[in-house]
Amino acid sequence: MTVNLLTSSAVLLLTCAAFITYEVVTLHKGMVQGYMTRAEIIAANSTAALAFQSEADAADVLAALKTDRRITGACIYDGTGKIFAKFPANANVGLFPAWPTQSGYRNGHLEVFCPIVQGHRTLGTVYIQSDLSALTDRYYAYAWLSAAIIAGSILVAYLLSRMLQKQISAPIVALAETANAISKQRDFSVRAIKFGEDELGLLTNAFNEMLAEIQKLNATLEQRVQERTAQLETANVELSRSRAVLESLFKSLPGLFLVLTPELKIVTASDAYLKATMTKRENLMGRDIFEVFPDNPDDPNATGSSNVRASLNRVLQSGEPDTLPIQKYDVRRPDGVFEERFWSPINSPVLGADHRIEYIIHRVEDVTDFVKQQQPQKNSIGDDNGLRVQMERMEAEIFRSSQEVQAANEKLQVANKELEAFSYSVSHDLRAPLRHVDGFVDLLRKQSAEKLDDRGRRYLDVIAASARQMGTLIDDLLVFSRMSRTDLRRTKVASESLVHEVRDALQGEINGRRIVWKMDSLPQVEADAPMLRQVWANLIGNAVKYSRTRDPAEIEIGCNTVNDEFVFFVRDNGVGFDMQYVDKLFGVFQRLHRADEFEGTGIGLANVRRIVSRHGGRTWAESKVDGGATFFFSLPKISNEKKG
Amino acid sequence: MKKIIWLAAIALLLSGAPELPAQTGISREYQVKAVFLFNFAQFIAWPTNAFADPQTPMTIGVLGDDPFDSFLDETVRGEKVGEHPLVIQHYRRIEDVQGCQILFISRSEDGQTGRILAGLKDKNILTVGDSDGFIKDGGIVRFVMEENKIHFRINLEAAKSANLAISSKLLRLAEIVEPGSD
Repeated sequence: MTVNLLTSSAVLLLTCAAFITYEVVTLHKGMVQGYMTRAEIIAANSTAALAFQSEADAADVLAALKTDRRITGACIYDGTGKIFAKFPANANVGLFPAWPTQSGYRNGHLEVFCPIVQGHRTLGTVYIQSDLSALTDRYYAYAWLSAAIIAGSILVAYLLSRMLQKQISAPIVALAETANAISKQRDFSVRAIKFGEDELGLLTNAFNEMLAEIQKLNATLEQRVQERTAQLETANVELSRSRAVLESLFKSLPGLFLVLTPELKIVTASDAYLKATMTKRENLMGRDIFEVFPDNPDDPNATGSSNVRASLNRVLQSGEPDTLPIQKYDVRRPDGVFEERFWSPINSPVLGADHRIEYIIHRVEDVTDFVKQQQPQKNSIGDDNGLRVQMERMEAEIFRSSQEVQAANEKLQVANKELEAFSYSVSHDLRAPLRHVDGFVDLLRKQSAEKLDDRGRRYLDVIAASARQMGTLIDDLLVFSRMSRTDLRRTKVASESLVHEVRDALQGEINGRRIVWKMDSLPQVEADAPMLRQVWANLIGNAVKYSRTRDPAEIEIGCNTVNDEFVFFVRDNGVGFDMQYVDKLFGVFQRLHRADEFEGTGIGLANVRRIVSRHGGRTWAESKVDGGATFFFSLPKISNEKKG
Repeated sequence: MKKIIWLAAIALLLSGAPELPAQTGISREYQVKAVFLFNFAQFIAWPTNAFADPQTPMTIGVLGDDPFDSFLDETVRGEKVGEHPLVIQHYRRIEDVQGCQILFISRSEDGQTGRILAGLKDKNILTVGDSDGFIKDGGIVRFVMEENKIHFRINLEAAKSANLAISSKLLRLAEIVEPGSD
């Protein structure tokens, strides 16, 4: 508004100045003209007085000038240039020029000379002298007038401006405040008030429409989520149930079974096994098998455990079942005494969906009595065959059970996929009204920019920024859902080049900041390249973002090989987070920092977890508040792929 | 003795009277009167039939003894009134006066002034004189000396009878008198 007023004032000032200048110039000329005319009249009337030498008559003629207050003196010169008559009659002769000269402005007076002519003879000259009060009076008048006009115009302009502003500002302010409130409180039931049927009204309408849509979709989404959750819960319950069934089934299997992890830790054992080894289930679970069942320390020839270990390793390597010849075990009784046993062990692997070994089934047949009876003869081949048949039957049973688990798993996955497809379409639908808001804000900016003051324009900026933020949110949702819809396409990916690409893409953000990069050499992995890039982009992006407060920021990227996995990590020296909330970190829309501290939508890490687990890996993090953070993710090594 | 003084006085008078050209006093007076005569012409309008055509000269006549000497001739030399060139004429007898617009009747004609003016009635002639009783005799303009300045009296009626229009500028300067006054 100030700009407007200044412009108007400047224009008015210039106009007034131009007019005044013209008037003054004209007035100057006019004054000379006016007094010259008077002088001419006096001249015409004084020919006789001069011709007939009548000073009295000449003085009379001059005296007529007394009506003009501004005339300070007048006189008539005769033909020789001597003063013949003067006005005022008592004026000092020094008041008048000694000799008739040119008319003009002199010594603060206007002097006019006019010859007194009869026929072709000049009888004398008339002189009139006036002060310049006419001019100065006029100047003052103009100055006051101009000042009054300008002041008046400014006032009117100001009032009009304010009036118009109110019409435009008020609705925008209201809209901006509504948008702000909704953004903060995420309450989509609020509506903006419409103030008229103009473009602002349209904007408000579009805005409200969008809110209504969001509200509806929100409700639908929630409902669907609830339905899905109920379905998932049912599936879960079924799953638990079948698991329970399987467990009790397993436990009561007639046969000596141990279930081991690939790290050779005991998961569970059948009741029969417990009985045969005189142990309790709780003493076994989670412990290393050789810790619980070591070789007899008193027997130097005891090789049972080491043979079993060798067999288990063979299974881990080959992914195929491995049968051992009858082994002599020394089972430790609770009182510490070792009893001699002869067992025939078979180790078989249980493969997961991606052909990794999930468990190893360690099955033994107690042939102690048989051996003791048949000590001299060994019919190992026949016995081994019978054992193998039994074992294969067991394998088949277990395989069936694991199939059931698989089926339940797949149901879950399908449910998830549907949910993600739904999110995808929702995000798309949300974008349309958002485009409206964006578009109309732009229109409004272009159309009414000059009617708006700084505040109004700032409000528009707020609306646009909020819309943009929403857009980012929706985009992230889209990405998140897309992650689950597309298939995994594994190729050999050089992690190092991926990381370099990601770092280059972040150059814009890094500009001007000091960041110390420490990067080990990274191995090649088999993964979906664009998805893996997304993982790196998120983790490194977070590291860059959350170390913004540090100068220099230190970011370390490396990889360790642990067992059969590559464990990648991204470490930064940024603000870190409280380990109390580490579980929430990878959840959707979970943020441990406020949006005004660090921008973001809270979907990034959820994406990372999703992608990594689809690849068969895990994600976790460690941190100290204000002590930096390290994010880990694991990927299976190539060699563990697709055997069996 | 008395006889010598008397003779000397007469000789002086005789030598002084007509033989005083270019002296102050009288000549200055008639210098001014000559200029006035010329100026009268500028401020008086004659009827159109007073001139045969616009280039016809305007005549200022002097009837009787010429008191102006050469002043009048010098004053009007080369001058014009409107388009009319100015010409000076000297007359001895009233009967000689023809085609004259301004007639100065010299003091020499005192005593006959009445008869002369009567004869000039209804002619478009501005009659000027400086004798006493000039106006009473019927003259239009009479020169008078007041406080050493030359003034003139104008008989407007006589002017009107002669069909002469006198400019107000001139009238302003003159003493307007009634026909019967001096």
